Amino acid sequence: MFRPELAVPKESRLPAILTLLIGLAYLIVGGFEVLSSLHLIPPIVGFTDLLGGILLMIISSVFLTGVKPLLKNDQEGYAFVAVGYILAALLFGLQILVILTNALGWFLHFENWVSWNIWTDFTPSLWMFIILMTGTGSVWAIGNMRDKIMGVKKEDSQ
Amino acid sequence: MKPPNELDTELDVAEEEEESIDPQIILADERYEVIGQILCETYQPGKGKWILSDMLDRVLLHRYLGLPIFLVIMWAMFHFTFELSLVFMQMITQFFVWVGTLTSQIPNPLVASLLTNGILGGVGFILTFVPPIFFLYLAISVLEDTGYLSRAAFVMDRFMMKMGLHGRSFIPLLLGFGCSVAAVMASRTVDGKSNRLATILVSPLMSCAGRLPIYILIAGVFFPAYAGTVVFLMYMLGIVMAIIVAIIFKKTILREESSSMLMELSQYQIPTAHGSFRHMWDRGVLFIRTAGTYLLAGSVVMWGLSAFGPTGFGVPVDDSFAAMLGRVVAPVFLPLGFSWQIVMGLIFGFLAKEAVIQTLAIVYSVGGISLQTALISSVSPLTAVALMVFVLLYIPCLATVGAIRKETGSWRWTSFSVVYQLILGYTIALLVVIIGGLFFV
Repeated sequence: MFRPELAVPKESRLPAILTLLIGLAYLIVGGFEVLSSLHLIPPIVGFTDLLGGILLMIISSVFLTGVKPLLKNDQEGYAFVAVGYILAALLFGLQILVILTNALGWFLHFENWVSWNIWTDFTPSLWMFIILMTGTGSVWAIGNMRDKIMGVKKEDSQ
Repeated sequence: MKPPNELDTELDVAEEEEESIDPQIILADERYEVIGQILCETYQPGKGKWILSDMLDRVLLHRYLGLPIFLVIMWAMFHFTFELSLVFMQMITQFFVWVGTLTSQIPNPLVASLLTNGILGGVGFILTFVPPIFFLYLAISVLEDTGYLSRAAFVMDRFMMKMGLHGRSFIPLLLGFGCSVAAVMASRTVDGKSNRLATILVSPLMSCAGRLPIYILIAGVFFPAYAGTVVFLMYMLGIVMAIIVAIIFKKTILREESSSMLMELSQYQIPTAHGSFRHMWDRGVLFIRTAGTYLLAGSVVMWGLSAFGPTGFGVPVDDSFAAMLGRVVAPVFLPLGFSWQIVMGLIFGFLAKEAVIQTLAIVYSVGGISLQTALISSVSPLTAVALMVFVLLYIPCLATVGAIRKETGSWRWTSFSVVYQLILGYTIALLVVIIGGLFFV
């Protein structure tokens, strides 16, 4: 059976820093959600689910575990980054589905959905993933642009 | 040198053990032996290619992260099951309410009551739980089709081996999320007689789809903000209790050395919509079939017991045959705070776990109150949790008892399964009431 090899960057320092930032962001947001849900800090809108906070911290631990191998230029680090993204995407996708079904209940004027609004379902797992993807997309776009510019400069110098 | 009779006994034991080993395991052992011999002659280590499946396994089977990731995926599964089904459940409820307004206008009060309170109040009510059950089966199918479910067994193997259990036991336990009968029958794949028996005995402790309606109802009524999490915790409690009980059995009545787990992990796959929906339908339709047969018959019987009393039809529900029967057993459950209505539900739950909630719906419907309103007014949140725990752990349903009898081939072990679960359910529910009472009342 043909098993295609994965193409991952050879140089992993920048991905390591990015992974560290993502991991820390998930850890901080997850920590705040846990503290807020336990009423140890003033309540924050959308930060009410204790288990949701713990799940974010688990995702953070997956990202953070990948930092060390990435700093050593070990490809194994990308496995943690990939699984971190998959888990974050899973929670994001789930929350999108929850919003869609709640919107359907609100649209049909069902009793339990009359007071529903989208902000009640705008949980950290949702917006964290949006930030994550925006950040990753930006880094990828900047990297691409830099490669193109550097490539042009190299061609010019030749 | 050993005397001949002792040698004969040892040989007999060895033969018995050989007979009890699953042929699939013998085949797998042989296959790996052949593979090993070929590799010894031909394999030369080189730089291997790293594919996505290896990449995912490096993390999903990680020594420390494997279990937390498994918990995230399980939580996502139950969140998906509960949150997404709510609106569809409401649609079905509205439909049956509309049908109920038509049937209640039938001039004959007996027929009107039978159709409205008995059939619609019972089977109609249980059919509102079709969406979560189908969603649960869809989620299980997706996990199976991706190849993650077999990895989950691998993740748990490390913990189960430490506890003296066989890692393969976790696969039947996971199947128990769908149906306990399937879990009991899947325990055939566990090698070793006592390992297999331990797996059969603890399989019914896993939350099957039949218990889901009661979790959804109680969690939705008493803990609406955290309902998905409560359902998830009930499923986790089932796993924890199964492991604890299995450890106790392995350390006391079912002593046997654990063998290592041999498992082929296929590559991860992207599940197809056709395959996943097909699996969901095949499994989910069994629930509809149960609702149309056993539960329909059960709802007619329950309606008869609730609507009739010593003076005939139309007596107040507190004077009905159901109340009389329920009050006979109710004192036993007084420490748990269960009313006679709940006790009747639990008795009927022996036929099928779905019948617990169906019975409650009929009893309260005949009494002219909606189930949700009745529960809030008559049951404390602590008793509600105790009820969920009791339903999780108490006697398996009739079909599961039949499967246990078939798989163990022994009425003694079947009776033991029923009795120990009843005692376990009662004890843990009582502990919930006592310990919870110290903190929350």
